[in-house]
Amino acid sequence: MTDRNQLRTVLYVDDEPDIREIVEMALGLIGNLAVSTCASGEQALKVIPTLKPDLVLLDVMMPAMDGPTALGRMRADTTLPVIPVIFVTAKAMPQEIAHFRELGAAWVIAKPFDPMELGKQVLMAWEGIGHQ
Amino acid sequence: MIEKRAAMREQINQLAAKFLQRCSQDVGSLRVLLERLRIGDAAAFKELEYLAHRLSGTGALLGFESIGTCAAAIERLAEAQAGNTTPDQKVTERLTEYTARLEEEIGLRGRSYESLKLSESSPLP
Repeated sequence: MTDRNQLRTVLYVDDEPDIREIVEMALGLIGNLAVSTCASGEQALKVIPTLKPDLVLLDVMMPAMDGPTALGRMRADTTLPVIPVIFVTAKAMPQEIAHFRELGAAWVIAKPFDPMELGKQVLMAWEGIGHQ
Repeated sequence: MIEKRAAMREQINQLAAKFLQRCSQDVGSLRVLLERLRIGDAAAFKELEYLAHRLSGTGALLGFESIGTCAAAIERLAEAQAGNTTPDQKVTERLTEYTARLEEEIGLRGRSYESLKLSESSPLP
């Protein structure tokens, strides 16, 4: 893995504080990875331009702005680089995953996930989406 | 790394205990929403769906599978009512039954959780 392609910064977006805390801890197990969190799609859209994360993990079902809407807004903003987005969702049936991929998600991680294994899942996804 | 994982497990155990405490309040909120359905307020379906979604997602993630399953049943049934302008009485009664089952599961898990001697090596609930 080259430096350029190493996963260094992740933004996790979820309205549920317990899940944000668990994800922050779980991804904190990966060495040299900075993890930031946001409680809403709106908040994420505000911080992404300055944070410029390598990867964004989006909860799908959030009040006000859901994950797919937040992804659509990210892609509509031409000033932003195309940051890969992983949806984290309980809606992970094959047809639902296919739908999320059509919307532009690079990967889908199913909820509930094993907190102890989430880091591995995210690294696998990162490699799977072409950052090996 | 082993220490970090143990610390994480301990933090998850603490979150799980807090989650169980909050669940009782959430069941109270579900009951208020069911009352709104009984008086014909179909907008309560969306709020029920969202609250059940939170309970289901967090519950399952913290290892409370049965709580997650009960809450997911409420979420799915409420979601299926999206667009209905008048709550169906039978659906409301089914949601009431699911909520009672959820409350029972929360009580059971709460009691068994209290009796656990938690330690760093304890498995997730």
